[in-house]
Amino acid sequence: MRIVPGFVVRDVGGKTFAVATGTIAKKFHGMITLAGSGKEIWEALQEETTEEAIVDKLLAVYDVDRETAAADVKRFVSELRKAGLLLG
Amino acid sequence: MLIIGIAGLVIGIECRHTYLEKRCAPFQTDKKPDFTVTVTREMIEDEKAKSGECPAGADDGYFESLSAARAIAHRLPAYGAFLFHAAVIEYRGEAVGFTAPSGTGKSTHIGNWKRAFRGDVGIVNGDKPILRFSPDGTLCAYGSPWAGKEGWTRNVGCPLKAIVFLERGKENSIVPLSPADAALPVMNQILLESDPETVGKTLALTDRMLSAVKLYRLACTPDVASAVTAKEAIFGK
Repeated sequence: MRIVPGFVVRDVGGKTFAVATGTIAKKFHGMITLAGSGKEIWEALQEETTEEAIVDKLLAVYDVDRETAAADVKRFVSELRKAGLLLG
Repeated sequence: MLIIGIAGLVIGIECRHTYLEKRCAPFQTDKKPDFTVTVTREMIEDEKAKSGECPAGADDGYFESLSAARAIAHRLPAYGAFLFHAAVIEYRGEAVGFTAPSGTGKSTHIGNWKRAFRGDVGIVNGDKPILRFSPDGTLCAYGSPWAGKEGWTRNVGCPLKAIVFLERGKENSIVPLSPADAALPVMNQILLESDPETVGKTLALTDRMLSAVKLYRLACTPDVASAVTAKEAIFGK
């Protein structure tokens, strides 16, 4: 799986936002705030990957156990999928 | 073709209806446009489809005007400028922008500033001013033809000192906001539906704006004291 192309990610006022552009903006209105591990998960989803591989990336950055990281990834990924923002 | 001058830019507009032409009158110029937008039939239909509630008597001319604003908004970030959804006044030459969902009482609040401070207060624009950074880094707010239902606008530009998020309150109180607190509400008042390059530029300008102006949340009553509360926080007693 990977994120649909067409999002622009920028820091605005010290927060990180992903904003839909071009044709994606016609389907998906609004913007996504990326906080904490959300930034790394989003970054990882820029290319084809798996939940497992993303969890490995988080464990390399954060001092958390695998269960917590896996739960974070699962929650984030399922929200993206619900919004129709994942390919594959 | 209509040609208007705003914020140091000359903009050409190809359109058919007199509605927009009338509103552009205070801004008309005969200089050579920096860029031109053309409003098509399809854009007008698109605008109708997007519109939720629209004022009574909204006709093709009205929607053509909105289409032109949208088309211009897409071009502005390339010039370091953007369209901001807010009502802007100036107090002794310095601008304050008020944003709120429609029906909150923006117009009432601005009326209170005029009543409290009379000649010290002037309208810049009632609905969609253009904001642009000057070469010296000052962010200025400029009146535009898109002035809201009161038609409040002037062909002026003033340094923008503050943005105030307005909400109704039982009493008047004002608190400063951090750029992080204000980021999302500010982004909601800026057109972000565009190509990646334009959106990237708009977000960079928004980030710059958040550190260039003071930010506040004002809970206000509909009476004149609300303007005094806001003015004292922004400009001192």
